[in-house]
Amino acid sequence: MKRREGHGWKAMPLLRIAAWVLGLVLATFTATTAQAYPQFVFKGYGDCGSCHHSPTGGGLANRWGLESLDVSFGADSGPGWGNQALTAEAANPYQLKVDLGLDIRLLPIFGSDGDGSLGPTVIPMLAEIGGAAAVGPWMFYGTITGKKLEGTGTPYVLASREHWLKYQASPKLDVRLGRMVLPFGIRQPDHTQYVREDFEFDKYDQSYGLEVDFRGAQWSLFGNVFAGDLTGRPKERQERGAVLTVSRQLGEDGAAIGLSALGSTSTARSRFAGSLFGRVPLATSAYALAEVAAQHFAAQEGDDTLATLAEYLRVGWFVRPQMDLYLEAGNRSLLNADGLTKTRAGLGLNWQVLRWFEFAPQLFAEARSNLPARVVALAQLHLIY
Amino acid sequence: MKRRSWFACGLAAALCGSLAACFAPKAERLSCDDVHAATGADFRDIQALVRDPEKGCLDTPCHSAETQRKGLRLDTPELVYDEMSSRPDLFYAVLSSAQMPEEGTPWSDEDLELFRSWYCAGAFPP
Repeated sequence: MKRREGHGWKAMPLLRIAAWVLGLVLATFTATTAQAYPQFVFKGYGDCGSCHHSPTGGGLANRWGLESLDVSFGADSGPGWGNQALTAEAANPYQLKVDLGLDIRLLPIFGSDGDGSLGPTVIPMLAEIGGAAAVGPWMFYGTITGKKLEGTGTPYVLASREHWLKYQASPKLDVRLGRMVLPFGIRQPDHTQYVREDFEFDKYDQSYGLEVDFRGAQWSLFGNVFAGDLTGRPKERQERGAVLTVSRQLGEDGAAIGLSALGSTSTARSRFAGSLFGRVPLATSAYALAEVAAQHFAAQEGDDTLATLAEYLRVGWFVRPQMDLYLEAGNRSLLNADGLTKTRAGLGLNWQVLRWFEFAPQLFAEARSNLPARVVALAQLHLIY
Repeated sequence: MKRRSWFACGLAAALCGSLAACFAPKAERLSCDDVHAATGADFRDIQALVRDPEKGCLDTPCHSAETQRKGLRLDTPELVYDEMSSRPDLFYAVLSSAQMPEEGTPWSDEDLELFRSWYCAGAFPP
């Protein structure tokens, strides 16, 4: 097996670096998007379900989440939200309430491939509309996304990443049925959370399932029994199983520790995965997030196996209430695939420039087994309504 | 009432879009029809195709260490596995539609069957 020796960053031509930018963009297309920011908990935002319709975060923001941005920028700036609270009113508990939303993510890149044929371009990462409609304790949530089918000649088709019905049994307890993001490990914005990307919780990897979401003052529990995405992958690769995430608040300052466990099976293989994660405040406006996760696949026929180990660390500082500057590092190893590893470290910014516009540039370096390191620059533009 | 109108408009747009999607050209999708037995698929076979002078990705040349067209390099077995296992749909689509290799011989039905067989058996490394 012939391998190239590492050359270091300085040996990399600029065009090569730019080409890697495009490579990352391609990878980004499959990454999970529209996730909750757990670091926001340190700003006093409670939990993910405080700002999102989904109790586990991600997807469209609810009225409270959007108005939280209003507090930062003043009620007179920007367009009106036009949303309304979906909480049932005591006087008329079964009044229909509807909330619509929009989530657009664009990724400008400036680069070139090996022969210099690629000019500056903007990649549409996500364009999603959605809404929630509630009557009493019932709520339906659904999204529609223009999904690009790579390499097929069909530019875009419409797909629904999430659609589920929720019954709110109490302010702390929800039961959901439908297609949703599985609760596993730390959820972060797309292309910045390495573990979820490496563990196949990508942009279109939602599953149909039945989920119980409990969010108590000290404990949270999210349990889901799932049956695969049913429409995306071939049935031989549809994973059916269960996942459970339990987290425990540690004190009043936002520190918490959590554990996720997942077991699933398909015609092709079985899977066990686990994640231990935590968050801790470092100072008044600084925080750290960390995760260690592992998974093991075994073939249903034959003796093939694949084991993955991943670690993630993020240290952030809210320079301003709407500006999160962070350093992060991650590593993933395929333990029995010739030791294939991928290590990343970078510097990024999540800047809520306007209440409807977030700017998220990131610069990081990535090294893979026996290859020179590559440097990648991204600048995500996120429009929210 | 106004908000209900917005919702109705959104719903109508979604339905129209769904209908349009139904009439869009059918995409080449990665399926598990017509595949080898699970233990009969090995990723080494696919790696051999990637390195093939005519059907491959290196000698044409596009995705060697030197060219890395579109930021993609497939010059080591580890990279081939890493890329193909993380984006099998994309690879299958461009290979089965003969968009790739751009220069050289398209993958045959037997070659594509090998790819499907490896994916449907669980996409394990060699």
